[in-house]
Amino acid sequence: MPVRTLENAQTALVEAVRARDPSAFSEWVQRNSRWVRGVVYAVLGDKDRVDDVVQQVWMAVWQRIETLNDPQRWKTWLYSIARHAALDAGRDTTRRRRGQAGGIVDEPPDPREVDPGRKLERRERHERVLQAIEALPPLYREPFVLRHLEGWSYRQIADVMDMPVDSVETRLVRAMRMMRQALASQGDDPT
Amino acid sequence: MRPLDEHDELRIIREIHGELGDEESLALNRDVLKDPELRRVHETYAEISRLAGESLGELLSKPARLSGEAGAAGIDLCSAADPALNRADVRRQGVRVSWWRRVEQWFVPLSAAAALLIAVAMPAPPGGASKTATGDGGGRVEPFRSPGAGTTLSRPVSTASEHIQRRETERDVIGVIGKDGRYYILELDRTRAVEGQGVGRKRAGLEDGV
Repeated sequence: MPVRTLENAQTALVEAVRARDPSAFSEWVQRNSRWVRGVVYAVLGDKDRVDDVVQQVWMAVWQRIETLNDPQRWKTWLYSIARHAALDAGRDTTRRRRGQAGGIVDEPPDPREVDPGRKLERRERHERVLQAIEALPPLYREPFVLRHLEGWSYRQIADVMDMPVDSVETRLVRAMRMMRQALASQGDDPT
Repeated sequence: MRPLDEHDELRIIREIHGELGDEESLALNRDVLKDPELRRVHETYAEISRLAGESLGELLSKPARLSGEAGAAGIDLCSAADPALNRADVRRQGVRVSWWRRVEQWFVPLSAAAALLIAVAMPAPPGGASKTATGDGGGRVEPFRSPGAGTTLSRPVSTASEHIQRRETERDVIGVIGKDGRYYILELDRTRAVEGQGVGRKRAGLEDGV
């Protein structure tokens, strides 16, 4: 389905949410849950707190939906709420030490896995990549997460972040360069 | 890692992100084929991009968990976000509640309750004339037979009292419309025990149930 049609369908959904339709809200949450999580994670840089903050984001969205004046701009509006909720959460608490708790590597390997060693290796590699992402400055981390989680184009990222496309490109190039250096310094040559 | 020309690096990253035009992309591929170092950098960035997508996808692709209750996420969240939004508010604000929800909430339990009441309150028809689910021929009472023995017993083995029990099964049919819009027929078999003098027990084929 073309992107424009999908956007229009979502705008209709947003109209229903503004009319306080709980089932439309549920549908809207499901459709946008992933990238909203991505924004929260990108701002916080802490995967352990993503769930709590995302919960607050959707609560705030439901409470403030009347303040969305232009339903066509719902994505920027939603991004702004997610971003500010994550910033507030980040200010509230001292950031936990990286790699202290939670995350993918904490789960023990599944004994039923055909090749648990291979799966563990894959998880460790993912963990190293996530650590490198979390080490990026938030300025670069946000477009990087949106690009790689959702596959959004530079234009889409620029629209939602309300900034020029060139700025998105510059940030993404720098983020990629930092990722390359970070993984190389970990002795993890991605190739 | 040799210092990389910034322009080449920019081209590589834009190409990996799908932001390079066809001609530029073709030119870059030619350069990559000619230069092993450029090829290595291209592979490295492509792998970083792939790994980042995989790792983030695995970390953040959990289904939405709202108010700790999966499923009716929207409604739960609405209640949590706005405590004033109770059922009355939903009605007042014109939020549509599915008609099936109403049918589901009231019709099915009421039907079951009515069927049970009928089963309990209905007097025994004279001579056990009700049609039975086992279809044994117009309500004719069959003497109990020991399985496989072929011997007719005067009373059921398990009945010790003077009164002899028999069971009658009747079938109710209820039509309901499902969530998927289809019409479903529910068959409710009602089996009841009737006590009486000198009446044999029917071979009950079915117990109560739908």
